[in-house]
Amino acid sequence: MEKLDKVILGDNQFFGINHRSQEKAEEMLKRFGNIDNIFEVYDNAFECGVKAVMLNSNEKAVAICDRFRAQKSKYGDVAWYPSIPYAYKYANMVNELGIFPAVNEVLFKGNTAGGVLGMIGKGTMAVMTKDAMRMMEMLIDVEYKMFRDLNVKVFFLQNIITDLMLGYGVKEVFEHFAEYIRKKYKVTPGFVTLNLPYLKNKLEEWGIDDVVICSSINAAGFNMHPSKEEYERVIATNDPSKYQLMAMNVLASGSITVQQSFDYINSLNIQSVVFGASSKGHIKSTVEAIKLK
Amino acid sequence: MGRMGLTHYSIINTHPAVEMTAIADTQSMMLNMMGKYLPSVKMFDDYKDLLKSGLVDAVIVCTPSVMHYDVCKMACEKGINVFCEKPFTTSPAQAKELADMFEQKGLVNQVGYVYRFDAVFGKVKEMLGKQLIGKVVHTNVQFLSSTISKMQPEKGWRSKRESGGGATYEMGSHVIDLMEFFFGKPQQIIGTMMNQVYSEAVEDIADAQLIYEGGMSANIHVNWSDYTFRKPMLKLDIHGTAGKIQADLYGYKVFMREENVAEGLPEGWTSVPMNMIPDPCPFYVRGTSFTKQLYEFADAILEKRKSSGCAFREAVDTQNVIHYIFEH
Repeated sequence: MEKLDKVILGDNQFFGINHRSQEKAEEMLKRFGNIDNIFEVYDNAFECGVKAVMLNSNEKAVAICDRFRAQKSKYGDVAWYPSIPYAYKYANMVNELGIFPAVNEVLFKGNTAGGVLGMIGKGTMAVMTKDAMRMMEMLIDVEYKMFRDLNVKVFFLQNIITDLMLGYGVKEVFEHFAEYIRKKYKVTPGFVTLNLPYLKNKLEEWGIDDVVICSSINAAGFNMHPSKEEYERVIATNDPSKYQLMAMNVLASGSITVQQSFDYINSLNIQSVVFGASSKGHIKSTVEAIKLK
Repeated sequence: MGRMGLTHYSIINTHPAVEMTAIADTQSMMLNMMGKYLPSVKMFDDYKDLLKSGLVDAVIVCTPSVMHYDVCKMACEKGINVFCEKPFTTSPAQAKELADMFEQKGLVNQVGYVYRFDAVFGKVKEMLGKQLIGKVVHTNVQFLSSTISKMQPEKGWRSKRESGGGATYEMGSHVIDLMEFFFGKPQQIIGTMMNQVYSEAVEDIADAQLIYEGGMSANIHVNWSDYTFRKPMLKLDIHGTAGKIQADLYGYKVFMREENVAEGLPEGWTSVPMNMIPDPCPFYVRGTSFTKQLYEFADAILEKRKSSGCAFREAVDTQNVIHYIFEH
């Protein structure tokens, strides 16, 4: 498996996600409503030595990807680690409409659909549900479109969907996702999860490997389920040639110092760190602190 | 299987001592799809057949609220333990009847008032239990969201009270239950008000004042048409004689008039963000509360406990407050 970039800039800061303060989140949302401010952060990060970015397929991602594509000479070397889907969009639609009308909306009612629209006609939902894997492929294609022509290294399934599906314990979903991403897009499949020990155990049981697992890993034990100890046990015994591990939420939303965070992260058998920061100073100190084995 | 049904299945299926044996849904598409990938689970297109099948010891009821009474009643008759989504019923009389029935049969019964399992509000309950802020004199609770931020077409479950729509059922029920969780049943309800912003058949804003034994008063305000909130905001202010607690979904702050050495709380404000409160759960899907809530239900059955989480009896009090707001 191709080696992961050790340092990846994430996107939480751009989308008003802050586990600590709603006010701070609102402030960030306002600042990054202007895409120029987003690119200022990216440019600062690249100057500090970051070579890879992670981006969720949400509303702002389309414009971000467009600008990256438009300036290929400047950004052509950036490695991409996108994640799909934009879970809030689906959650709201499923809540309002029910799951099948929501899927129908995404696939057939325009918005992001485009090319998929022409592939099959309307009113085929009943047929589609008999082949949920085909339905999944189409949803992936819809979301993947915004990342076309970018240098994608790993393509992730977001934790809300990974963990929801993991609970069902259906092997086909994980197997099919991984195979489809590998075959159609020629990139490494990845899963974001807040249940790393559970997921890794299942993937092993199902014989699915050569995938990346990204999970919340931090000295505070924040969002590490079922426990920090269980994470440490699984990470220590992991074989990175089968599962490369990527840590997210390493600063536990600011509940621990950068020093504490990275003393911990650097001591573990993990291959990559995705972090969020918006000031050049924070980016620089974070990049310098990451010294994975 | 709407959004809650899909979530609950995923969570409870990971409980090591629980086996999922049956699903009932009226959508044939859902049953086809589930049936294909969950071959050991039996699919029913009528909940009555599921309850009669002998395949289940417990059910999770996520139907529209107006059906809760019939489903729960039949489950009780069949000796089946029930976890029922909120709002519990659409009438206080039905809520009481169900609570009586389940208690008589000794079946575990729980309503999905999930904020009881939130780490922050759990901490608030603990602090109140220790009387850290002295005698509570007043509480102010608000729940605001942008759920309905434009004119509503008259379809969809949120535009009908029978299906659990309206700001009082959707959001008021949660804060009224939190008050029940913290302080028990109110003695008097005054100053109730409902108002509309965008909806036609249901209310978008609801207010009430609750008065408790011992004189504590509480203001409740919910508004699901507050477009300034991207995410729902549930906020509590609890004013006591020895201090004050402020809490929301992001953490809590406590003000002590005097230092409390035993609790490590200095005089003045102490602020604890949510990520500083240890909150591990066995399997995370959509926040730890959903998991803790359902595991509590399953464990109560496995450990042969009589009650779990938010019992039907407590949900009766909440139902009474809700309907008082509707009627006054």
